[in-house]
Amino acid sequence: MRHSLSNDDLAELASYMEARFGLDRNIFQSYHWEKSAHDFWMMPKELSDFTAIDEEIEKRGLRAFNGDKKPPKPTTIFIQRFSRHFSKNIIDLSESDFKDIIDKKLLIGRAIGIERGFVLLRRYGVCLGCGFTRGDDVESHLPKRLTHSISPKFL
Amino acid sequence: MNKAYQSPAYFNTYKDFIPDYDLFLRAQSELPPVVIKRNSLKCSIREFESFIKRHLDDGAFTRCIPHEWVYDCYEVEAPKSIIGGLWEHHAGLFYMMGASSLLPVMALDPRPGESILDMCSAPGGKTFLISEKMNDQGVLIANEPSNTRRRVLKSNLDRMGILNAHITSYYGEKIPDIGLFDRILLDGPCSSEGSLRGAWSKNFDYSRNDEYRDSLQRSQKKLLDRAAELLKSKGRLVYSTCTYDPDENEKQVDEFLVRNPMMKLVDSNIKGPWVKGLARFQEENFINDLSYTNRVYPHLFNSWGFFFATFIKQ
Repeated sequence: MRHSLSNDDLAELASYMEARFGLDRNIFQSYHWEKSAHDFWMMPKELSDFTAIDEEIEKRGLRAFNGDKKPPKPTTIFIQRFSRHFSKNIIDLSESDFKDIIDKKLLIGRAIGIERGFVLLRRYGVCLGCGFTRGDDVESHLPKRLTHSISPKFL
Repeated sequence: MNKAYQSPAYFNTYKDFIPDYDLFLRAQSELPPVVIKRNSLKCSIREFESFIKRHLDDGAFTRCIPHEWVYDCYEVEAPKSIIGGLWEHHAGLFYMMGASSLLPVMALDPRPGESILDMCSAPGGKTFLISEKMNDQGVLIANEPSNTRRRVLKSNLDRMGILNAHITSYYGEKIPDIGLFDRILLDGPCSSEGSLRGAWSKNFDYSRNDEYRDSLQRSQKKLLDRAAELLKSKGRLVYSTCTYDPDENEKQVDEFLVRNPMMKLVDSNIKGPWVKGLARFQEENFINDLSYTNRVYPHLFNSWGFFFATFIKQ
């Protein structure tokens, strides 16, 4: 069962994303937001008005945040979709960084000078997903299905 | 490992109407080129060109040229396994598809803010193209009854970052009255002869099983009729298949027009080396003028074989 996200919840989410990743809060206002048991979903306003029989609905809109975490963690799908709108706490990956991520290694020393917490991992201007600071190092939070499928030969 | 396709006898029934039949058979025995479509929701033309240049430099691609007939697409010389393993693929910067797959969406001509139904949506390439044209605005119902295929659909729409889609699991012919649509794409189940190029398929009906063909045609008929009911007045319907069989193409269109007099066959208005639909097949003359239907042959348009027709509801 889904409910519309309250204005307060939405404002909190927009403030966090603006403060943490420099994402323009107007992006949030352009869409309708819903909350399911664990996640926050975004969609155009017209889509939220459209009714179908509940049992036959598999998915509606884009799963944008994992709401179990505090603050909510943006999903990889959301980060990749709005990649070009982020401007803060971004780590630009070199080829060897990317290889380390695929090999499940920490990115040593890459968190120096970065605010502690979630960071974005970017390659050639494309944000791929989240990382998390561990002291001065960064741990990848890219989904395993992603890192397992990427060929390390052409990074 | 795919075995080379070596069964010209299969297509003998079509010898009389396929132009340059020997060239057709030759094209049918070769693999089609790999085409990648830029995801304009995520990637600008400049960014995409730099991605292509990078992979020409690092040897992932041996050649990459803009496609002559379909927008935002490039023909790439590289094994599919390499293209599918690129991180840019997993980040949804592009979609690997047959160039023919763009044609029904170009004929559908989706616009932002509309309500659009994709009746048989998986694996999601055409759904992505429709959503991209809608630019995040409006309602896109992506329907797919098969659980397995719907999982692939969901995964592909997530990868491409689609946010205006609503995935449903109805049997197409039984979609309830969930609203009327401005446009409907019916890329229905078919015998898939056009996608046989260059390889044997273990699932393909080489024996031309009549029972199987009849069941496909019954489904196509029901799907078309339901599509007509779900369409708004002045709405646009595109029917497409990836087969050459006139029983699944012109005959379906002809009978559909007879059953649904409010539907009018119109010019799809997209330019390319397609061939007009047939006026007759075997002993049967079609009742309606089907010259606005389009046949796509691999020796004329180097992709999957295809058929598409566009209707307006009056």
